[in-house]
Amino acid sequence: MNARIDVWVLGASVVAVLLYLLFPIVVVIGASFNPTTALQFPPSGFSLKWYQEIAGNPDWINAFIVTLEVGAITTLLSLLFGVPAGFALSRYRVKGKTLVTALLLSALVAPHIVRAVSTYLFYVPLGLNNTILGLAIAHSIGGIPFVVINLGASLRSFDPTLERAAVIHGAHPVRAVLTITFPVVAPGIIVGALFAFMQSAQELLISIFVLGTLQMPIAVKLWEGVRVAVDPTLAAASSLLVLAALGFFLLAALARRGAAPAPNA
Amino acid sequence: MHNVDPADLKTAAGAGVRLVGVSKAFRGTLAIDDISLNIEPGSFVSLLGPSGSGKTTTLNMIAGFVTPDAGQLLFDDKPITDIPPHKRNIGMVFQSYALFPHMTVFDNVAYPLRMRTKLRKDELGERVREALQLVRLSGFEDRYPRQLSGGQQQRVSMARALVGRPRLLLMDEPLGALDKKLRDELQVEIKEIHRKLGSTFIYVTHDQTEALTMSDAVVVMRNAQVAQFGSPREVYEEPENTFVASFLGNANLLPAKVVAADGQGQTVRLSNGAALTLPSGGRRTFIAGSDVMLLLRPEDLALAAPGTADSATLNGTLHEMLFFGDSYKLIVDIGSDTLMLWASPREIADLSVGAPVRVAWDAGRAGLLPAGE
Ligand SMILES: Nc1ncnc2c1ncn2[C@@H]1O[C@H](COP(=O)(O)OP(=O)(O)O)[C@@H](O)[C@H]1O
Ligand SMILES: [Mg+2]
Repeated sequence: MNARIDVWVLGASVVAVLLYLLFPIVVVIGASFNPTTALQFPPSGFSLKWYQEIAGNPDWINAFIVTLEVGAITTLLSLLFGVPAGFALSRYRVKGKTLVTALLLSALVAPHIVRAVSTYLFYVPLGLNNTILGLAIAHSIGGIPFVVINLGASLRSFDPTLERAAVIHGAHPVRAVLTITFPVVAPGIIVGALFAFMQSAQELLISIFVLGTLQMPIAVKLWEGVRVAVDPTLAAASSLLVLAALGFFLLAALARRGAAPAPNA
Repeated sequence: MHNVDPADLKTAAGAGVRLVGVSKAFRGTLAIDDISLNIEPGSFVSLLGPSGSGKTTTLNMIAGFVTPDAGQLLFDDKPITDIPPHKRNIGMVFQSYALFPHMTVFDNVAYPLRMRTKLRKDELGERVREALQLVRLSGFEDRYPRQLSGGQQQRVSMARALVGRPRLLLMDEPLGALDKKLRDELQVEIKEIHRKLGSTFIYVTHDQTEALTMSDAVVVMRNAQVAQFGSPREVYEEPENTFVASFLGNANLLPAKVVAADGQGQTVRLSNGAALTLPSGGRRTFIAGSDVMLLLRPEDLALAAPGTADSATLNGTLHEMLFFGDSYKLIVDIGSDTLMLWASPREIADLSVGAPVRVAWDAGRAGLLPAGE
């Protein structure tokens, strides 16, 4: 009897937590279909006009393009530095490994406002403010840890005898890494890259400081919209972001599944 | 640097492997302690020993994954210590199979050919199919390793190791993860493959039956050293020390003292006072007064009919009898020592625990070993 009660309590709490977590998303998506200019939930009808509004508005299109550009360069930079760092940190006994790891991870916990202000000041003499590249470099500081962490996790579960098997059967050690290790840990790298992109796409404070308001990525455009005039285009744009994030998580899950060792038949 | 010419792979004659005074320490602990071995070209040699005795380290050193701290490693009398593993032209089978999970069976088996040769596509396909046929896995080319059973994966792993026709094949407990029935089956197949190919096989195992049944020679390892190196019959029938005697098969080892040694043979006295005489010839001889261990294999012992008066019998008490279906395992107390032997259910008749028994022993097959070790 007790066991039954436990199950009920557990089930009820899971549902409650899920509702709590999903509530804002449900509200935003619901509000985006509102036929009137009011940002209200539940919507008073069903209309796609706010999505059409976004599709027809060059400002919004531009914001999406800026987000994509920054995100793409961020991802590239995160991979460029994160992959070798991930390999070095999990494969070799590097001096000061703990310190390096802590420094890398500090980017994840440092307050964004601090990173924003310091990046801005640092960029002034370099002329990197108001450039896409400048923002991408700043975002890659937050992207590299995701690549390092995910690649590290993949490498820890990678069986090093696979590399030995490749080498003893004629592969130069470098070639063994390229033909065996890389493909096997690739899902970890992909997941890290997706996370790096996502953290760039949703980052607001550093974007405001570095890009100002001339070129606006989505996050900044949303922020501006909230300050100027609240209407369901914001909800529609947010819903698109949620959709993109969902897509990314799905990809990440697929990549992870590809990495998981399948049970023997 | 010397590189083995891929052309002479095709001859597939086995490589001779020689270790001369090789040592290796990990963080101050010796994993291999001054080992010398001469492995004949084309032979099947097992490295047998308990876990941690240095078998894998020895194998990895031959593969080139471990660099010796001292000593020399020679293939066909050519030093190979400075040649990196990928240029040694060796095939290797791992206990964990180590198949490449992102490649099909075909690509796994083709891997060594792609790394080492510039074969045309059709030749490559031919060689891969040949190797899969050798391990009886034709038709599995397009499967992925995760779609195969453990036994099939190990066959793929063998095909991959053999496809390049290496003159030396290393196997590290290849059957260790498989169940008994499959193990017995694959033992026979590996033996057949060895006969067909003529390459030198070095096989690591901690299973003494496996080592005895498959090998031309057995290297018994203990504590980073070679306890004995010889043919299966030699290490079983003429162990050089009590470790080898008890590691291979069942052994009754009784402390004894040599009371007389002459041209006729050696007479030893057991702790219960019984004197036994071993005929001279072949065996190790000790001077009178030496402390020794008397080795009596269970299969050289038998229950003696009550009443027979024979110098080749030992009197004792039946301590325990265990039914094994086709036979009984008997534990007999001889003074403060115990003997283990087998008896058929017919011989047991009305015997019961506690009864006095007489055990006949075969003097010609008993052995004397140095006491203490
Ligand atoms: N890479 C290594 N680092 C440290 N110690 C090792 C390493 N490889 C083996 N050893 C040690 O060397 C000894 C022999 O190991 P190994 O050759 O694996 O034995 P076996 O294969 O007979 O079980 C063990 O004590 C083991 O702990
Ligand atoms: Mg081992």
